[in-house]
Amino acid sequence: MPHYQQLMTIAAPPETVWEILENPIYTMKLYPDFLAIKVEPEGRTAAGQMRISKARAGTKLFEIRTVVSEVVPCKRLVLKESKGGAFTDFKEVIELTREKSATRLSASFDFTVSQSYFEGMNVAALEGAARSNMISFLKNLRELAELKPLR
Amino acid sequence: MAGTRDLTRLDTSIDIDSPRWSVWAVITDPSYFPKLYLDAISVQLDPPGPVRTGQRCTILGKVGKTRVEVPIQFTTVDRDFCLAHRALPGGLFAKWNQTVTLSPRGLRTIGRVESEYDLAPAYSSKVADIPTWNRVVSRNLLGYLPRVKEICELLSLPR
Repeated sequence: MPHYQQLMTIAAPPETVWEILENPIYTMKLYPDFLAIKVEPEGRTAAGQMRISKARAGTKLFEIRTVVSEVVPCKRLVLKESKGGAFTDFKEVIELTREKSATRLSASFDFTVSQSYFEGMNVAALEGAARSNMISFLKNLRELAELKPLR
Repeated sequence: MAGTRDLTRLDTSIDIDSPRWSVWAVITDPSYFPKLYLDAISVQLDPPGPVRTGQRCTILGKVGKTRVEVPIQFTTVDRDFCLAHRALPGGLFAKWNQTVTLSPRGLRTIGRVESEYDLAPAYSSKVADIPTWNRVVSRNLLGYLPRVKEICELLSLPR
């Protein structure tokens, strides 16, 4: 199963990073190929909440279905696959640790692209695109968390 | 693009290979907003729920490394035809009126966006490089319709 893992430091407190992670509307800015999202039930992230995202691969539009499986505010967020989407297996684990006024972030992604969902398409290329989105996710998360208000 | 010293006006249109209802679904789904405006980060609707006339919406965006807020209010929500909003006080714009109209052309749609805006003095007075900010805003507004087209013309999986 493809795996991606990264550690990084963000120059913002865990509360700021968490605010971005737990609000699903930020998803489209974090993952370059995500276009829209619906959450059930609506509102902030909670264990058991479904996330149905629309995403693109080239000229194709597809769905990613995940469920929030673990939420420890400002510390840990875990998402897993839900039946019927682009991944047969998916697990995203984000952990935050306070480091003075900054945040140490650990992220890991394990995923398997559904061959039946993407019948006839190049699965290796899709895995590459997924990995690229995960790398961008972390870069964008840092960029958003470190934005400054106009003074 | 034409404009006075402070007020900038934009008027663009595009041919979209997608039916009008489909385009309408994209432009009125707030979760698409961060994709339709390049530098929008998130949106918050007040009250939450489907877009409707009178509803307020706060768009959180960025200009370079600076966070900005753009509160708007929907002034016209005419299903499959017209979506208009105006800026509310307290954000990036002193004025931002935008009207999106959709016209059917067979199974295709002609989308048109008319915008006029100027930056709020509260922002203008704190920003050293006004032309850069204006360029960022124009780039976001001019990029709106091409992004709507790109999304609407994607082919859904599984077939």
